[in-house]
Amino acid sequence: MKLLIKILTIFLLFSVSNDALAQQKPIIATCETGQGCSFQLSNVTYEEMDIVEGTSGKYKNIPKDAMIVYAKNGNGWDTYIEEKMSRSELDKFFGGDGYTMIYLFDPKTQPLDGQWKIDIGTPSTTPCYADISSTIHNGLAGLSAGGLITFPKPFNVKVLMNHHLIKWRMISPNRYQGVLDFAGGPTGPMKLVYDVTIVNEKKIVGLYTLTIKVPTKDPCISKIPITFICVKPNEDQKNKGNEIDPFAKRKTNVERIPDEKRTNVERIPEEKRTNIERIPEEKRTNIERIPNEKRTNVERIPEEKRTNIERIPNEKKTKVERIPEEKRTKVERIQ
Amino acid sequence: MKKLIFIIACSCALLACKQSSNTTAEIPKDFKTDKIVANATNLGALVSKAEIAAIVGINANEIKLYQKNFDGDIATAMLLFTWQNGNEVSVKVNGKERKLNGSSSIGIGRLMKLSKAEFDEMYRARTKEEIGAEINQIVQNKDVDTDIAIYEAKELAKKAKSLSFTKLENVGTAAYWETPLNVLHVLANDITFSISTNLQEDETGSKQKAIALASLIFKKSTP
Repeated sequence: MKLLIKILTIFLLFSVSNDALAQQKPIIATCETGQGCSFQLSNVTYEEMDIVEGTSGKYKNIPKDAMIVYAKNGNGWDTYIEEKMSRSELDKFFGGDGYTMIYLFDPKTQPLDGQWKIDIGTPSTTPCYADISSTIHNGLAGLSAGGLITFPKPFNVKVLMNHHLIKWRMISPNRYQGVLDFAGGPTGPMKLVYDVTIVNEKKIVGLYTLTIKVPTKDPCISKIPITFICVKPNEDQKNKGNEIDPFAKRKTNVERIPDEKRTNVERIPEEKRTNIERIPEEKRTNIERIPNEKRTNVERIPEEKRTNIERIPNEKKTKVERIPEEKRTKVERIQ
Repeated sequence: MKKLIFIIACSCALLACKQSSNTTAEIPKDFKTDKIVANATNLGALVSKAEIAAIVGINANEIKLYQKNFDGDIATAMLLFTWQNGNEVSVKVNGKERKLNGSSSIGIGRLMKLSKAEFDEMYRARTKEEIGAEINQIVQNKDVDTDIAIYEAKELAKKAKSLSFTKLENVGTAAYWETPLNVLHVLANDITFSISTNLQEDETGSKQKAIALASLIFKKSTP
């Protein structure tokens, strides 16, 4: 038995190319004493982890089975690398039941769906040559989503600022950072950093930091705090326990479309979409459909009997000027 | 002398009774699954902290509840009754030792509706060929992210070395004890649930406490 497992593991490792291993993404474990751990696949590779955290080879050189652990410590998080324990063992080490699964996003972070209120705080700006604070303040309302929010499940921080140029990364289990460099790259003249902390399921706090660099002058740095509060969670989330058939979810067995049958239709980017107004119901004309029995059954000409008359190409058509109506002579038709 | 014999006999009978209650959890005659199904998403309503405290031998005030439910699926959700066990565990953070409070837990969850045949199939021992086929299936599944498939296959291969299910007699309609996780899987009529244990006890002690909790759930689901 042990031999077979060894063979399978070796087969598994060889079936994955070295390149793929270098590009492998680490598992991030979020652990809390008394709650065990949740596991998610990082959205950056081991090598990219070093770039993000500014470490030289710390993550690149760790064994590829090791996990990056965020362990709750009071109000903060300790980060360490676990090389020996399996997922089950780590979960039990933190008091869990030992059953684990890997998710693509952090499964523990899930703000409530419902009405959210946004409070944009007072900006603090370094002495600057231009009044950038008020400009950003006015622009923030448009960039940050508020009102009725339905969060994707599992939670994706993009919902808080969905802009195609912003790059998001996770700092710790409840903290994210989005960077918008306005396509100027890391050394570009303008950069917006958006730090977000999910305080709890009803509160999210954020801080916008806008930096503008102009040659020969000190950079302008403006910081604006923002708070999201869930003022009215959706009712259905409160009544989760009153389902009629809690097993119903597992009964659905919808067959998946095989990959080879899927059509790859490119999505139209948001900015290219045209907003065509829908015709309101009352303005629509109600053209009565011809009932089936009233339709004339005109027999179709079979393909082989059709004459193929060549069309005159547009450029060869002669433009004959029409005789105006008043100049036309009325020639009586011969009976 | 007669009095002494009577006392000894009574003590033996009580001891035997206690021993039996720790290893058996038969379904009462009038047991109904309705209460378990009605509380499927709120299993905390089935048993109280005080009842758990009595089983594991701690103070009820020390117990905290933690709902482990990441994807809204009751078949994977688990309600954990957790408490600090007084031990210290340590992890190495940036080369320095960091002490943490050790925790224990007992959980109820993983509710499913299964027939006896399906239940037995789920928890029977797998042959090496079946485990191999399962690993292959994970790796070749195009719907699963490649990295996740590799990690899951490795975890399954690691687990297979020690995973075992032991059939238990006189517990529910049918029951299996899973090691090394120390989890009791119980079938009660057509409902299955699992009781996880993460206690500072050996396997026998953990199994006895899990069976005692199963017995309590049966009792509380009987009108």
